[in-house]
Amino acid sequence: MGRRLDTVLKQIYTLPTLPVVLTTVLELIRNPKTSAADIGRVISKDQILTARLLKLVNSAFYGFPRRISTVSHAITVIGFDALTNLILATSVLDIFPKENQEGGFDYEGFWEHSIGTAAGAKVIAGFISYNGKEELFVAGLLHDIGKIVEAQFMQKEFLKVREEIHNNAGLMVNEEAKILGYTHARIGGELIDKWGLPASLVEPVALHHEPQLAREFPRQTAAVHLADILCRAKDIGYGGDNKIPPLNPVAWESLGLRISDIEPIMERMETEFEATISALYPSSTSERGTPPGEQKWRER
Amino acid sequence: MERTISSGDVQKFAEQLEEARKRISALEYTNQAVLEYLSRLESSGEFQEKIELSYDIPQIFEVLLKEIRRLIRTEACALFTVAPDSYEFVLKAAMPDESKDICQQEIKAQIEYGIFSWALTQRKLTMVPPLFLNRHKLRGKNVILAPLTTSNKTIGMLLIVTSLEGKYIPKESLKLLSIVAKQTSFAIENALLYQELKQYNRMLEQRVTERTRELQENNKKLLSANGKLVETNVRLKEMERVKTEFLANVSHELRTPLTSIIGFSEVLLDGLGGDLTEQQKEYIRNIHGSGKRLLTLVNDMLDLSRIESGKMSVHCTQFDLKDLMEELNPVVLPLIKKKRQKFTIDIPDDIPSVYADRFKVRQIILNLLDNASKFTPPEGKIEVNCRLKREADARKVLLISISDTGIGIKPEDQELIFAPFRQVDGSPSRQFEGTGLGLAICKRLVEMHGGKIWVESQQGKGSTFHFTLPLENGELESREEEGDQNCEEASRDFSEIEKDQRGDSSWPG
Amino acid sequence: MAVVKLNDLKPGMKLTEPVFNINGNLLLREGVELTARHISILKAWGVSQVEVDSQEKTDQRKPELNPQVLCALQERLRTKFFGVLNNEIMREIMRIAEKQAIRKLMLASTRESRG
Repeated sequence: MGRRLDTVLKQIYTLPTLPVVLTTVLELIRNPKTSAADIGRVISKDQILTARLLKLVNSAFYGFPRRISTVSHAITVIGFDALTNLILATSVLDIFPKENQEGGFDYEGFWEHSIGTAAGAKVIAGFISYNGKEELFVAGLLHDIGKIVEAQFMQKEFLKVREEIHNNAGLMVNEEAKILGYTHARIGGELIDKWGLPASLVEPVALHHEPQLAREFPRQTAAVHLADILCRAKDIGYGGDNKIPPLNPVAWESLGLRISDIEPIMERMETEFEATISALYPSSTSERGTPPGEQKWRER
Repeated sequence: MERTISSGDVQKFAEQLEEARKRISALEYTNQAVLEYLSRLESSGEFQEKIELSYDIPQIFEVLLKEIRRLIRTEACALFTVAPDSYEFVLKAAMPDESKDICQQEIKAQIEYGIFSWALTQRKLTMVPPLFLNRHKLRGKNVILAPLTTSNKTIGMLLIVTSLEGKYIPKESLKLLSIVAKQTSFAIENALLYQELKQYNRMLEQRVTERTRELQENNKKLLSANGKLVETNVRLKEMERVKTEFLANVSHELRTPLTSIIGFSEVLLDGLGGDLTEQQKEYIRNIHGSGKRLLTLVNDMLDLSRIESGKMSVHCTQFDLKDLMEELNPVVLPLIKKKRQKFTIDIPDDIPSVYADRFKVRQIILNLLDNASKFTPPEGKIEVNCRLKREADARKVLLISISDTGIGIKPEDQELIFAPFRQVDGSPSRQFEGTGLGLAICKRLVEMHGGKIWVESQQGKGSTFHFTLPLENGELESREEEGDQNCEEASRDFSEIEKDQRGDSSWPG
Repeated sequence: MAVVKLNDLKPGMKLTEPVFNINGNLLLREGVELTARHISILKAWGVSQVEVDSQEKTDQRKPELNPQVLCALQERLRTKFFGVLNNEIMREIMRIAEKQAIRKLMLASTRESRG
């Protein structure tokens, strides 16, 4: 079955690639001598990206008390890695469709859920004193990207999966495993690995439904796993099914959180989500208290 | 199909080649930079070693400063730590010294504008334009705020003022600074713990010293007390020895002339010195009597002293009381006959033999009989009785009772009489002579056998003296611990006693 | 009792709740009257808001929640959480989710009622 996934991906020639500016930045960053000015110069060539980044950096997403007006300034304030992750976040949203078209895949619900999970992962990072909160944010944002791959490049099978979910009221991963032989998590992992993104992003994405298997980045994987669950509990966006996957005990252990942390985390997720969605996804017109994704499905 | 290579292709090819070359040189450059960075990281190892050895904040700051200056052009640097009680951020060290105030002001401004707390919650190093320094002469172009945190705890904040433009500072410098900040945090945490530990240690040491001093003083007191005890003991022993020697000497010195007095007066009374007139005989009898009494006193005193100092011990054998009484008969009878007192002995045949010191029991009985006779008027009755008695602890003992129809003893005197040198009547005109030691000696002798002695009496009616003796070997209380094991004969052997009794003219009539 | 943002704090305000920092240490007890120094400490630690004594009356009117809506909400949650509630953490998550959903709905209904 694993080989099938490889072959499938190989066959997808039209798999999206990361924007050039991002790959350039990733390369530049590998050089220890790079300065904020160097990166700023590269990014400034892309005006839209610059605008998006500055909007994000100046938003409640960061809550920096002073106005940041240049990318290089942004780098000195938030750091190189943080900025790279922000570019990644905004780029990904550019690569894939944001609005729902004909065809049935609920992109809006999908992105809402992804941003919700990203916000959750970022909040959890604070609670476990993990310094890479932007990294976790991106991991959360990308965790379900495999679903888009399925929706765009494996339409027939994916449709079947969605039918089965509706009939059995089950979990997507279970139905995927039955019909496709692999899950969206694994697909997503493969994709971003192909993109050349760091392993610290690949593992959490690939194993967010099987966090106990994470070897190199168990805490990060566990964070994304938990964020996904909390997001579904809070009904933020649509995760593809209406069930909540059980919390993996190994994942909970590796995070070292207390049960009393759950309430504050879920509280903060709310604020974080609001801040992020307005900064990243301004075209979203969805109001809070939107009818759940299931209803959207029925509409179609 | 063959395809010829056009100039367009060559052009493209050259472009691609150029592109490839550019990329390769870029990669090489990056590679070089990485290697340099790694070597810089390695040389930071010295910093790590030094900082781990630092025990207080000034030392840590010194090592830290050296490293920071290696990484970035530093105009000023200040270290703030969290005060343990108020959780305020307090300036602990600054370089140069004059920049202390400026650093305080800059931090205050950063706190006010919220950038300080932002950096703290970010837990990451951040670079910002200075807020206060701009107005100051210091050539600060940028301010770096590096939070000092360990795992979950916030230790403090590091402020670095640099003259470099933030955006031109290479990534590696910032990365290394982050690492330095992290290590500093741990070093400070360690140093603070170390200080706490030192203080605690000092407190313990102090307490230990105090306690030791207390104990030493107590010990001294004890030693001196002990010394005194030893001294006292030595002195007591000395006194004892002196007393014994004294008594031994005295008794010997007294007895020798006494023996002469008694002996010669007897000789005279026997007529061996010539005929005597009635008057002379009376005088000599007087002398004889006094001598005898004096000898008795000396012997009694010696006896008592021996018993008291534990130099007397019991030599026990199994014997029948009946036999002993028969032995005593010739000694006792004459004295009692003199006063025409009636004397009876009542000892049942089935009385078992007693386990005691024969001589001492003789002494006891003779003494008691002596008293009985003394204090009973003529025509009175004296009886010796013997029975088996069961003690409170179920032991069986022999109860010997000597009763008389004498003047009796007042209740309040009944215990006193067993004390040494006590006679019932303390008045100068004593009707009855005696040393007052007899009963005291009896008591001690009875007690040495593990027995008891007591009296029942009614004034005017008479008295009965009781004492108990053990029946068998095992029943004897060990009294030997009261002195050395030397077996000493009782001071009086019965030949002397008999001599006393025979010369009965001395008895008060 | 009013919640005041850090930037709106003034010396003299009295705390009605204790204030903790991110490490969980107690910075200020309840009942403390704030001085400029106190405010500076709160700002250094990034405390975003505190509860102080205030004169204004808080709006006591609690919005009513339509019982039908509440029922539907609880039904949804139960379906969602079906089969995973054997874990106390999952139960806690569900509890908080319900609490926050109700609050959201009440806020929405308040907004509606206000027009």
